[in-house]
Amino acid sequence: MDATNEGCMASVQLTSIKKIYPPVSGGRKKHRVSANEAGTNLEKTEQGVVAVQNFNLEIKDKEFVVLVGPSGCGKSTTLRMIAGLEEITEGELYIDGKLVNELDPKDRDIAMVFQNYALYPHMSVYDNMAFALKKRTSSKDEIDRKVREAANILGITEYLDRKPKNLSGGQRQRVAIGRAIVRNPKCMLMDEPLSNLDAKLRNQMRAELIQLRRKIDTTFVYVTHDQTEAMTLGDRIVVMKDGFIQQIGTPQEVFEKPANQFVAGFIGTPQMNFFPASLKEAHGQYSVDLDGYVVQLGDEDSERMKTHGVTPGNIILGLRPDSLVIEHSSTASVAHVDVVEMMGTNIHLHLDYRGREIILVTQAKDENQHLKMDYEQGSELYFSFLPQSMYLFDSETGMNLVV
Amino acid sequence: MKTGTTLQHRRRAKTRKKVFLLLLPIMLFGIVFVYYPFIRTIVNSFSLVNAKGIIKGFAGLDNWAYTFGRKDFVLALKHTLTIAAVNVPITIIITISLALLANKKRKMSPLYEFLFTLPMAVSMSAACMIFKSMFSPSVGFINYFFGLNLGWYESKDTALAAILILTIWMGIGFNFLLMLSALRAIPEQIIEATKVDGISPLRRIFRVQLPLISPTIFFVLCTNLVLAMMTSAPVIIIMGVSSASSATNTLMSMMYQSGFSSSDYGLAAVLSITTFILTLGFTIMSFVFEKRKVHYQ
Repeated sequence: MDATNEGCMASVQLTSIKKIYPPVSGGRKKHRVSANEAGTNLEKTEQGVVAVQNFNLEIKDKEFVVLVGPSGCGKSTTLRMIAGLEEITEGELYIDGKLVNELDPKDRDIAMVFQNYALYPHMSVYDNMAFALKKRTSSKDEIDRKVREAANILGITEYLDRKPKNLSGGQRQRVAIGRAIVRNPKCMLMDEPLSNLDAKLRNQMRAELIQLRRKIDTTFVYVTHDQTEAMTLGDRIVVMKDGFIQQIGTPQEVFEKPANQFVAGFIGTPQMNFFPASLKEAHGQYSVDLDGYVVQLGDEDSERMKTHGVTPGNIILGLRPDSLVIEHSSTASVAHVDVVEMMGTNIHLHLDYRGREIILVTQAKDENQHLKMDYEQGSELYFSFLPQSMYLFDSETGMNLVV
Repeated sequence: MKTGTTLQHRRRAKTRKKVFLLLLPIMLFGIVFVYYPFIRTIVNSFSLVNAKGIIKGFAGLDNWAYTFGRKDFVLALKHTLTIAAVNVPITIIITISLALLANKKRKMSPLYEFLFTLPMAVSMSAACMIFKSMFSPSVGFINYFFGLNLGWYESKDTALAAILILTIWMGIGFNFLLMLSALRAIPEQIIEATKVDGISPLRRIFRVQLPLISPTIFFVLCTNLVLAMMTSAPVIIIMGVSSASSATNTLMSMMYQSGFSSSDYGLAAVLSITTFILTLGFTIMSFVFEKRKVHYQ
């Protein structure tokens, strides 16, 4: 907001952060973890459930970092540790080069936007935003100026006198963001800020967040389970699962070079298709055999795999839905059409390939702008794929064999 | 079309009958135990009533003039208002403080939630006997513990204070429970937002937590006001008709004595109506306060 104001920028550094929730002890924490535990493989030790471990991340000044992962992966816990709402069991947290492990949230100079907005329901929009300022700044005029400036940025000036209950979800979220930015924090923390909004509003707010970020130059740490938000908002994405970081990288890196099968399946919609296949090697040249359909790997990939010492054997072959190509010859792999989803520009075909559901995305119209709707349920369909579109994963560890 | 409407009429009449039938028990109950006594009391206050409770004639404002002219009425009114004025705010302050202390869930939470609510489980008469012995000037625990030499219930100067301590103690358990559940109903994230925003704990309590539990505070205020205005049992049970009883007589205990011991129904009726009007007035006043200060979500 006010770029000249010192202290509105900061790097955040997390070193070997670990969080253990103690086992049965009264309180709300217990409930949160046990709710998350279902369906995850969080490590349990004598001290309790390990929600986050070995978390190393350096967030640069003014960077927008998105923590993304399925529920219970530790992303919110990590954010709450940065905020100071959750104690850090092990490791060190630096904000602006200063160790803040033991500091109260108020002394960390951070602001946080909560999933359910957490607005003060008995205060007007204006007071909600001015509340935190009243102690920090001395003059009333300055508070007024800051509140109006933030309201102006977010387009909520006309609602300043309203109470939160008289606002829509999107407006409430703007007020919550406004409350955070008036304080000019070193670091903005956002905990799934868009997940309470309906789909249309979420898309709109996502675009507004991108614009907002240009206006208020500060460090952002953003938590979401939505990979679209992660891809569109983040400078860098941190993909997490079961308390561990899976991969850190730019949206493009994470999409094009997923570190493992989990990341590959999590990033990108529709989800990547996975096939059990076998890797073969002949004269230094690798090839993939998918149930008899053999595809040679490119020279570059082969070279890289050779230096990694990849041995032939069973692997997992990953193929994105849009890299599957419909063929008319029976030399290609064969699948049966199960469900046809017309999405407008594209058609999503859910295919049954040897008892496994895969998705193929194809253009809805051919070159002559004619709709291609000749997909009947149960009919046979041949598909192939290009060597450069293949992702190869170790069948046991799930690690990407090519990167 | 015509048959349709008559059918509808018949059906509606049938439903109406059913509604009345279902409401009959509670209506009977209300008439017999609430409305009849209430109206009868009003009538009594303007009538000449004999010792058997039978109306012997119209008395105009005689009962009222007689009551308001009595010295012990003025004293009883003073005591009643004192109890209300002291009991209500102190109960609210104590229960909110305890609830704030117990708000955070800890390992031992159930233990002191239990301890704080325990007074609820004690019946009024048992509590009266316990307090009477605790406050006994000779063998009482209170004087011994605090090294005091007070007469408590047996002295005119301290009797009312001792009654107040008892009534406040009796009210703590239930009101604490109300305050605690209201505090715990505040979304956790709002409290976390104040922490991140750097709001000091005191400011958080007065600007966020108390406004958010204001509906409960208002409820406790109203119910305790009515209860305080109606204070009678401890006065009657502990003080009986001892020499010090005039030091603690309330409107309601005076009503009890005049109505049930002396069979002075005119006096009892006037006392009842007076208390009712005062309580109603205070309740209306608190509703004015509610309009301005109470925040409903």
